[in-house]
Amino acid sequence: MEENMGNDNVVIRLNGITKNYRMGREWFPALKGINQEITAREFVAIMGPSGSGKSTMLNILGCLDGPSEGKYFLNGKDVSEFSENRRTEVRNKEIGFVFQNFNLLPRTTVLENVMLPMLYANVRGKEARRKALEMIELVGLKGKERNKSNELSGGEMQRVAIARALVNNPSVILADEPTGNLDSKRGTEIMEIFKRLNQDKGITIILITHEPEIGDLAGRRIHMRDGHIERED
Amino acid sequence: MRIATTISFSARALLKNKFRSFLTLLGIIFGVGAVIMVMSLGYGARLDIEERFAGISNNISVSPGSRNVGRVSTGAGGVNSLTVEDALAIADECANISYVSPMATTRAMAIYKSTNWPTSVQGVGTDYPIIGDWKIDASRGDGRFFNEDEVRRGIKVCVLGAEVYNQLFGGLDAVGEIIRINKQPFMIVGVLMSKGQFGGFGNRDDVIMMPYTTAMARLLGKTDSSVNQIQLSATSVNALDAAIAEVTDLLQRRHRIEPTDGTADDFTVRNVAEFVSFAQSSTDTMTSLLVAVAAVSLLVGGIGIMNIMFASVTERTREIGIRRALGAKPRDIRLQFLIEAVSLCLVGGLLGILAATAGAPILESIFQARTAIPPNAIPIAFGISTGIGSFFGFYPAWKASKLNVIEALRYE
Repeated sequence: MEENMGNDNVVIRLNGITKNYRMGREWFPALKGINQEITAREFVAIMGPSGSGKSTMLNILGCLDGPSEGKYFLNGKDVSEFSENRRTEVRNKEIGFVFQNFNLLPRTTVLENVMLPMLYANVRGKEARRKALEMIELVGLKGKERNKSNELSGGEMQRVAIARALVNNPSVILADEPTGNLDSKRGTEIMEIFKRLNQDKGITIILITHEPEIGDLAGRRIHMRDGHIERED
Repeated sequence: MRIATTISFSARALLKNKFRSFLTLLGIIFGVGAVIMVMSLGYGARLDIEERFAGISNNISVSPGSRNVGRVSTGAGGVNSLTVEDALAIADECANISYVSPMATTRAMAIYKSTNWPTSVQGVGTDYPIIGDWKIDASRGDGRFFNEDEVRRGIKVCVLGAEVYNQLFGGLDAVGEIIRINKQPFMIVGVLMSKGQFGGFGNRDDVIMMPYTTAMARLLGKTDSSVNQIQLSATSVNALDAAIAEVTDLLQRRHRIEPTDGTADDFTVRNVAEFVSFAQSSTDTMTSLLVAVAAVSLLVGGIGIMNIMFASVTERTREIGIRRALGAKPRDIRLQFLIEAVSLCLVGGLLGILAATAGAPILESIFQARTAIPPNAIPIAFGISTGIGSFFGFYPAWKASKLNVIEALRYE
């Protein structure tokens, strides 16, 4: 059942989300009833120490996993009860992932990596190529299209990942510790790109990090601890 | 997701691991190669039989059969029931028979100068070269077959089979020469074209032919007119059944046998087509047996495919996780791995056909048997390959599609 949440600008709405994991014989609650709203054009950082539940948040927000209880509305659609096939479609079209360890296909060119989500979305080859080249240029990698992903530096790999996250025009970019594997200079460059995407292109960005200085660059910070939201600022 | 895209993903994955792909292929190459090679052995034998019987497929042979005297069987050939007169009657009365030759056979020693050669003697009529598809070898002098007059008068003339000619004359002129057969002089009037070795049926060129009258009187010392066989040829292959019925009916009348179920007959009528189909079916049985043995290696190859696909799925867990996170549905992953397995097998099948083509001559020289790649080998090889690929590739592909996305993404 879909509910109209009133505010058209709300991209993500979480209603009492819980997630329990089985640890041997015990059930371990990773999320304990999260209520949250994220509106379009927001730049939000989800922060917290390890074990706070922020990784589980990423999995739920990214439709990599469904919640145990509660409702997750993405663009007004209740995706919490979706089958794995439909969740896959949501991940493909609505979410742009940027991972800490880049997660590019090894021994595959930059262009092919960036085109990948479009191929699974049935975008025609020619159109996919055009769009991929456009995004590669946007992240400042023009001229490296033919390079293999494993020939790139860490900063360049993360730029490829960002380009890849953008190609299907997702509703939200989910970045999981995107600077975690980079030195501070490259990390700053990557954060610059996120800021620019958010400010110039109005792209909604959710950043997951445990580093306060990275979180400070976001417009809003959600602090998590022990599976619930401790505070926001 | 377009199938073409999935195919290109699969092809790239295989090309990135060329050496491993090749090793996996080997199993299929040997399997398909072995199956095709064995099939080519069987098909070669089949062609051999067909060709050797090509000129004589409308032949019928009548031999004396067993006759039950009271309750006692006299055994095959136990009675001298077939006679020259039977042969002449068949020639006169059977409309579906075009050529007739009585046949009286024995073994004899042929001597030319100081060379001896034991061989078989066939006393036949003038129709026999047509019935048996024998030709005079024109390169061996101005030869001919014996004629009607020589048969009627029982003249001591003979025609040499190619093997006998080689043993006694070894390239010299034979036509017009006199040889001694069981100490009696015979004039050679011709030399036959070679028909060659025929599987387990002996060398058909190791023969001397002469008029049946001569053979019966001079070599067999017969006092009656009984013969070992009557060789016939029907007007056509289509007329075989009618011809056999005609001959059976005539001989039953002549031998005063009640036309029952044939158990009372003192003769047996066989056609060559029957013999050919018997030979073919025993060849086919042998071939199927060998193919079954060769198929075991294909099974081993298939297990190799499964093994390597499992290894590949484990090694590429991260890749699967990335693809799944970015929009690949379980079925896209399943299809990708399945296509990888099937295309490996298809390439293996193709190379297997080439290997069999290269290996067949080797087999030919080892077994002294003819080989020929059967025309259905290519569809069969591709069918088998696709089958093996989908069967042994399915489980690894299914496993790959069932991986948990989050765990796969974190896999190191």
